Amino acid sequence: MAETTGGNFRPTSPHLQIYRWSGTLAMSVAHRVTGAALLVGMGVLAWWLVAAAIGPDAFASARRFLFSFPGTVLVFAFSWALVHHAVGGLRHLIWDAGVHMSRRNREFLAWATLATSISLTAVIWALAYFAR
Amino acid sequence: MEDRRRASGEARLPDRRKGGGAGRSFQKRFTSMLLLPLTVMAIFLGVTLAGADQGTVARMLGHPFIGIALFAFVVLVALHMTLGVIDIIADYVHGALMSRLAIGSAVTYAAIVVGASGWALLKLNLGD
Repeated sequence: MAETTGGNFRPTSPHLQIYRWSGTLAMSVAHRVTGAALLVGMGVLAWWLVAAAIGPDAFASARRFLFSFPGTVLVFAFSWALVHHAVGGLRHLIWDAGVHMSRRNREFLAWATLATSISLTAVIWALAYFAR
Repeated sequence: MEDRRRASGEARLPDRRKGGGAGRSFQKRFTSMLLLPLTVMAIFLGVTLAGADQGTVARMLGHPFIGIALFAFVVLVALHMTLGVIDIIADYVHGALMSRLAIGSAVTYAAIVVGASGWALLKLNLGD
């Protein structure tokens, strides 16, 4: 804690071990984790776009990786993170408007975020599977 | 307070340094609102192109509307993710030097993502 003498007044956070877990806390952590994961995933998206631009051979090797087991897990995680972060962002915009801030409603919205992101991701993968 | 903040190195955060403007908080929300429809488009594109070969992908991303919309998505995501990661850095990285290095790396990474995606989409739209 010697750092505090440097005068950085922003608190070290979050104190995960002293708070009682709630839906809003869990979704707040999930929002940040999915956001960070998407930052990494954008590099993969850029790489995929570059492969598509280079030509059929480069694209084929990118495609081969994305269709491998770790690749598929990565794409699945990216898709859920994208949906979850977008739905979570929508929830934050609702709260920014100053509505649904009661304990009951904010807990409902928190769990609704998770339920919506899981359902939408399932629908997206079903569509992708049956569309091809 | 202003002087202490300056001395503490907290002035490194862009919205403080520039002064004025509504700051990171507003910028993050503004980009998030623009990103909502573009994200729906990107997911739709992903569903359409799942498992497609290079010819199909190149043809679809080579369409100007799709190419421009996808580039707008990448640019806005790059801005939004940089704003977001600056918040994470502010929470966990202490000390002005480490903080500057972390933010510099995040900005560089975002620039590479935009540059690479921009090059790819330009080539798919204008190449050949």
